[in-house]
Amino acid sequence: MTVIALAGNPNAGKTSLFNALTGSREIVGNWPGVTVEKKIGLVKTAGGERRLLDLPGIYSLSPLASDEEVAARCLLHEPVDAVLNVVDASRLRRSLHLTVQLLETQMPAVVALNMVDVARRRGWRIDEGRLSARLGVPVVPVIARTGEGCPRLAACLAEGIRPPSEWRLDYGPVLERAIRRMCDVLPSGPADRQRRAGRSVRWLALQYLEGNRVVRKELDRADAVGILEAVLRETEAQLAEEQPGLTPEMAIRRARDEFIDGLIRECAVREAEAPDVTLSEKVDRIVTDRWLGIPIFLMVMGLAFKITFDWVGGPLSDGLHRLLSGPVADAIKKLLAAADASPFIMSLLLDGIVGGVGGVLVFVPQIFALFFILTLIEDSGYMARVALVMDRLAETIGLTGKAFIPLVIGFGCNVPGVMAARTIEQPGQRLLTILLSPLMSCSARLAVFSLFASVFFPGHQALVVLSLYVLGIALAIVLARLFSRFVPGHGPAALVIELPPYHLPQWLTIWRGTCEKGREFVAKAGTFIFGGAVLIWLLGSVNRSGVLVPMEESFLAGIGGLIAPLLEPLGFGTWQAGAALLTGFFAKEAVISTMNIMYGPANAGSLQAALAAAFTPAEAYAFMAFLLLYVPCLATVATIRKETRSAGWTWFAAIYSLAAAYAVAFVIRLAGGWLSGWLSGF
Amino acid sequence: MQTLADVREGGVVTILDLSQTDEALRRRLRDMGIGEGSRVRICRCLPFGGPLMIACDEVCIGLRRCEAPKIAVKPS
Repeated sequence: MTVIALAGNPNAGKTSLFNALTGSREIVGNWPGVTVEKKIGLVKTAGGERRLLDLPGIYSLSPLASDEEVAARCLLHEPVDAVLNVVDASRLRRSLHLTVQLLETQMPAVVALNMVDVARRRGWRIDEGRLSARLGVPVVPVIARTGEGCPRLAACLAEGIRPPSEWRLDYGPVLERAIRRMCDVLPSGPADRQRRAGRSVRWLALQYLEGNRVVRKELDRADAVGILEAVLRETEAQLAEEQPGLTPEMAIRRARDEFIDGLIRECAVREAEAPDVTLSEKVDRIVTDRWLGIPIFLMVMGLAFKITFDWVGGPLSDGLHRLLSGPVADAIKKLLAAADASPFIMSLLLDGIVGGVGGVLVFVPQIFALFFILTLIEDSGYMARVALVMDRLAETIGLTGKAFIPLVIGFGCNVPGVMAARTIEQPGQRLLTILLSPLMSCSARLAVFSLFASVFFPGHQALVVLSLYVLGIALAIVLARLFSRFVPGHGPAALVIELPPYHLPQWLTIWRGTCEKGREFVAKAGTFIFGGAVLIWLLGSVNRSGVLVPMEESFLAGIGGLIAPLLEPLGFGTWQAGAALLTGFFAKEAVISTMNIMYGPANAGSLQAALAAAFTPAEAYAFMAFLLLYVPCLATVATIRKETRSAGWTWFAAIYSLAAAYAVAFVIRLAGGWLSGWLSGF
Repeated sequence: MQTLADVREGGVVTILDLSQTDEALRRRLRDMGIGEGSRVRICRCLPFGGPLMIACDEVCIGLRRCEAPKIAVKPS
């Protein structure tokens, strides 16, 4: 099937266009070797189906950050038949730099001229016919957010895309001579390269001269590498002679600038003066206000939590819980009784599966609500303002404002949080952000907090849960200062962040984004937690003498009992707490399912009663704090290992968090009497 | 020589020289469409030496204050 790569600048509307064009998503996975998400969707066209491959947002094919490397590597190594280039019509000058580089690959291409409505509002009319003639590829105006123009684009993709055969940009005598000499020694694409960018030797030569590190690495293996290096050095000398300080990269950029300026003069007509103050600027005057910026951010986060726990997510979760523990459990019981099932099977299904998995599933509404809000914040453009507003604060603790984005995503789930740290260019900053993001309380931990808070602090759930989030943040601030002293490659960081214009929420994008993230939680409940719940139930019902023994005598009690003395100084030295925390390493929300199974029949009414009997409020708070901080879950640890590419830092992340958890829980226990008095006074 | 650090909120200047900034920053700025000769407006200086918010005809970016003295500008 034809594979079309979707390439464009960050914030050019790539995701919207991807969603507008593709009905179903075929594959969601990762790019080889990295954890940047790889999405492939199917476009239905009159000429059959096409695969649309979503590349990360890039400004240039020559990468600066590691997520941008993916795009260059994909064009070099993946079998791609054509490129669909999204161009932001309201930022034409900048977007066309990428277009020029894509056309130079000589791959068949189509340009989707997106946001023509925004450009029109700013007073520009773009003559797409002339643009198409000058670039030699089809140019289709679209408004991805509304879907306008997408049928025409799909039809254009169906027609079969021709390569921009004759198009080339003249880079001036010095560079052209260098390109010619390099082309002579570069192997012209072998047969297996036919569907790749690497078949255009001119493109390879240009990217080599420009300093594209992916292409340089690729060509370092070529036989002619000595000649390439010699040509590069000569060219550098010749350019510097022409004008001091002129590098090949600058000369290439200048030639493209000139071409693009000419193109814009020809194809874009200023019909009206741009409005003096755009709506985005008006919004920015308030949300990035010198003094109101940070309070507004805190209010937005507070509102997000209020919606997640108290207004929408919480009530829905309660309803689901009543449904699962009532009618659903009864129906299964009746069904099993009718089928004459053995007590073993009955206990497995009701206590193990319905109790264990069901106990986690009831938190799905809350988790979806949180992801919905996080996706909304991301999609609206506010997230970039958060980075800006929080930068000064982040700087004092040795982070950049950009670190706040992964950290905020970490509130949903630490795994994408750790992955989002890729957008930070400096390696030291990135490592620091990765190490700290597990301290952000994720939605899985939230499930446990919600349960404990409802039992021990009824009426103050939002406040108690918020205090745990604040605890994690406070610890992150302290540890950031500490770690930044010895994290390698950590220096004063530059912050350059684009502030895209605000968008009205586009429901399709937000809905899909929410579902993609939420689905992982449900999938985890179906696999990890399902397996874990069955295992825990089994361990809890079996010992050497037989099955269906009282839980106090089971293997589970034995294992939990081994850990219990270690937890004694923290106030929860019971085998149940020990066993629950052990399973919590696999997935933090598994703590609930384990407790559900351990503390009696799959009836959360009695789980809550059992919990209330097992912990004092202070001990419960210490337990929650321990759960917040101790070793990140297995999936997060695995992601940290993948992202840092270092076993040492992964161990460090696991051990420091365990030590911090122990210390903090101990302090809470010590302050326990006073704390419980204070909290019950609310 | 006037630098970006000397410009007040709301001021409009033309960038003269980016060569004192480090390479990654310079490239990122150029990727975003800001280079020598660009006309930029300082929309906001966040307090306590916080970042600058800069608009250049098509784009709006955030930039750390410590980079501003390295960017030479002239009034326009």
